Amino acid sequence: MAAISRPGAWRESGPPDFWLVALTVLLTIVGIVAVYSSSFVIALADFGDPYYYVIRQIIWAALGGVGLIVISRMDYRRLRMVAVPLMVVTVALLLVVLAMGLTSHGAQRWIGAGPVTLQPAEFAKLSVIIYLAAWLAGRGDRIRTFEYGLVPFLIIVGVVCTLIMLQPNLGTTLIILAITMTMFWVGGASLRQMTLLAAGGIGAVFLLATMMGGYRADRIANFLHPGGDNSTAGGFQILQSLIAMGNGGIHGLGLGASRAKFFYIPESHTDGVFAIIGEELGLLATVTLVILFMTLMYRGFQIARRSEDEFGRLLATGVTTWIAVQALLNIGGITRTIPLTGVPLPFLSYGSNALTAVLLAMGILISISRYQSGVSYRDSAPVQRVRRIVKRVKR
Amino acid sequence: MPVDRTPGTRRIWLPAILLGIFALVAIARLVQIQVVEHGHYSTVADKELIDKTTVYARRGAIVDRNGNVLAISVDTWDIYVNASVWQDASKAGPASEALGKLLSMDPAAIRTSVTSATQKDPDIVQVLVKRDVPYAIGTAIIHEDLDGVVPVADHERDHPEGDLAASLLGLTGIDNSGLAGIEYQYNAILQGTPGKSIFERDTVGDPIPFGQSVAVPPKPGQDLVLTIDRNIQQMAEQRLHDAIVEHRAKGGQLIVADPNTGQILALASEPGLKYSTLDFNDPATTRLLQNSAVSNLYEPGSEFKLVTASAAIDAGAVTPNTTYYDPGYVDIGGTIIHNWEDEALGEQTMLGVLQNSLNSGAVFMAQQLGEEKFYNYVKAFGFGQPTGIDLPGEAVGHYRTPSDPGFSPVDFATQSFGQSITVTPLQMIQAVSAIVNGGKLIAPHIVKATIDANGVEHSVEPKVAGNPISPETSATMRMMMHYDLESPGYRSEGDPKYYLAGGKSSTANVPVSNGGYNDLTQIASFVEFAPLNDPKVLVLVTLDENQDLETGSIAAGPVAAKFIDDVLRYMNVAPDRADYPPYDQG
Repeated sequence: MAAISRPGAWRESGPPDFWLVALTVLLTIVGIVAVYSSSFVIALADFGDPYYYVIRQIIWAALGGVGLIVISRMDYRRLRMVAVPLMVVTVALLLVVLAMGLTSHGAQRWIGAGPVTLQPAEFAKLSVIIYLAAWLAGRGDRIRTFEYGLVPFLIIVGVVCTLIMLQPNLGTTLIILAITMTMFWVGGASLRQMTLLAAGGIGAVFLLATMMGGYRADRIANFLHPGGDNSTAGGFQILQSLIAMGNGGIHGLGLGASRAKFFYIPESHTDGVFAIIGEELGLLATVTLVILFMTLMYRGFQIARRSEDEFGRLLATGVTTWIAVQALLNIGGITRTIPLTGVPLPFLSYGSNALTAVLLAMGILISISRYQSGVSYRDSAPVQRVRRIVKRVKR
Repeated sequence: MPVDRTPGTRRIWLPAILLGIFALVAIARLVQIQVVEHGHYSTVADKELIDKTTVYARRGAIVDRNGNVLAISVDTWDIYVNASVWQDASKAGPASEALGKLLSMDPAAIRTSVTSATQKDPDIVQVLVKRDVPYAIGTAIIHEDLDGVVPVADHERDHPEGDLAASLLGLTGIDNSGLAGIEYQYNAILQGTPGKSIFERDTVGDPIPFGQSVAVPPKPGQDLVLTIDRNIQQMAEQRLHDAIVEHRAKGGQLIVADPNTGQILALASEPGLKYSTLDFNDPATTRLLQNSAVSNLYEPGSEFKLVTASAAIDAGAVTPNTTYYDPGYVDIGGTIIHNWEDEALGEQTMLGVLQNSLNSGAVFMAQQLGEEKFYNYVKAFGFGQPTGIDLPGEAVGHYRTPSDPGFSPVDFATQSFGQSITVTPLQMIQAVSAIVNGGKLIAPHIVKATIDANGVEHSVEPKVAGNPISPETSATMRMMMHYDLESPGYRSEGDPKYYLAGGKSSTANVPVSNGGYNDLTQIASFVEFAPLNDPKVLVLVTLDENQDLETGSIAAGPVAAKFIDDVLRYMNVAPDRADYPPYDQG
């Protein structure tokens, strides 16, 4: 471990994880189709151009794709060197957002102007993962102590979460809590620490959510009263989402044939895209998507498990947890399995920052997959079959 | 290479399992929503999405007997403004300027009306700026593509002849249904069957493109061909108006009918509906929606002596040459009934009764006939029953018969010369038509034919309701009516210049509420037909409460005579008297 853990040292690298690359490409393409289908009505109404959103989604997918390729070809351990500066920049940007950010939907989340806006919370997830991976990897067994483990962890997480909660942005806060607690657990925290954190975390979330009032309180009320109060914005959105998915049935109404996107679901191309997919392509598509995200999660955790070093394992754990938790929070909210938190569906929701951040994170994960431990690294059976076919074709 | 197996490699599976379980719950939930509750949600979606609109069916046109259009529906646009779009002043400004120019309205006033509508009702989406904008202007507005301006197709009832026959035609409401007149009476035929459009809509209510839709095409209404002749109607309205002005009458009717078919060639009534001055805020408008020719009840007076004479002659009770002694009055069980000129004329023929309009003679004829037969004839001539005219609001009229409580012989006597009996102008037209047409009682009507969507014309055949008198009696009555106009040494003011005609005047008192009659309120009228041996037209001129108190002969007679001359020449009927100037149709 000593020799290879030195950051920046050259290492032999293998091929990237085939499933991970395939899933990334597939989900991004599905996302572009879904954004187009769910956004052209709103785009036409708001901008007079049905392609307004999909063109931007394609541009950001391309830029994010370039970033993904660059990062995936890099040795991820170089990220350890930028962990602290990244964290400092992130905290600074979060402070800037609070000071002079743009307000939309009752929350102050964006900075910038014109076509390019920055949503620091999206990148905060990535920064926290990198920083925490670096920090935890350097701690070793001291993690299990109170003063060197739990307290600094709480401070790091507390600062970031407080800043994001002030925007306010409950969804991202929840995702960061889930990511950091998972990383803390995988990084070697004791069972007692985890129990404390879980109890404190759940209490804090409920306290925050109810104290904040406004639409968040509505959303919890909407969830707790399944009659569906159509009078509040959130209740309307959930009810319309349920109607859309329910109307879609098993096979759906057909690609492009959604009715709900005609202003019934307010955020049809962002947070509500899953409902439009469910309406147009039915249960077959929604369950397939859940399975795709779970496959991605499985591959991600496999990559983490097989990582040669602690930093890589924690990094992979963080990224995987992020994608999986965010996907489930979105799907769970839209289906009223849990209260609506208003987070975008990774890969599929429209959003420049969200898509770019996710693609960069996937780049990191792919990079880690290239440095798998020689003993445990093995292509899965179908991949070996594909490789054989490719070899034969080349010959 | 050795692998650093920290506890993390196994610990990873805990979050994986937790998230996996959550994913399974989500899948179960998806199955519940999309399979188990699919039926429920698609019902909800349908209810929310599906909208029905009525597709306007073109309302049939109304044309005169020669095909001249009197009422027709034309396509128009209603101009709405989307209030939420106009909240943006940078859009409302230019849009209202351009719209004001096209509509000839003040842009600021348009903006104010939109703003005040939203203040009154915050939920309002589209505000009506102007209804029934001409088609060309509406398409110009669409072409401009102004922000927030929404033209909606509509239709309007257009009357190419202006106010001509307005009282007859009546009105339509904005819902395309008739409110008065022929428009009301024939609404079911004119209106057609609206089509239906069932479509999926977005939250604003606009149809979703390529959404499902079902359309039932509208069935257009049928066109109506009236018995009215535009030119005769025009003449009738003008002559009636002139007479009302000249004799300072409160109103009047001028009805022209073909006595052989019951077809109404012209029907003018005043006061009446005028599209040009229509004002629904004026309570008097409601009364104008009723056509006085069908709804006005009055006591006909001397013209009713025609009915009494026809009955007495038909029954053989008298002949035109039967004589009686006129003392100037009649004594009915102590009640003295005077003639209009209070002098005794001595021995008189039945012809003299009509010529001198002697009440005592009418009573004599009725008494010769007897009560029972008299009332049978009155009933056979259609009095006390609707004529069946195809116009709304027809009054029936009333008279007392021996079987009614409170009947007295005085009623019988006064009814013989047209008092104590109420009739409508159209009942008089129907009865006198039967008297001169050979004895056929024919329901007057105003619609000659309907034309269906395929252009096939369906004629309305005249309905003979009965034969109150014989053709011989009818011929005798025509001669008596002729002698009433002209006889050796005598010519009535109602005698036409060029045609041999027959007629009868009436100067009826208007009953007042205390049961008597007011000598200062009268109805002056004249009924006249021509040509003598083959009647083509029957004209009834009625002047209500003419303030100059001229008699029917003097006030209404010349109007009827001139009308007969002009209308027959217009109809190319050969004149009975030579060297007449040709009728100038212009």
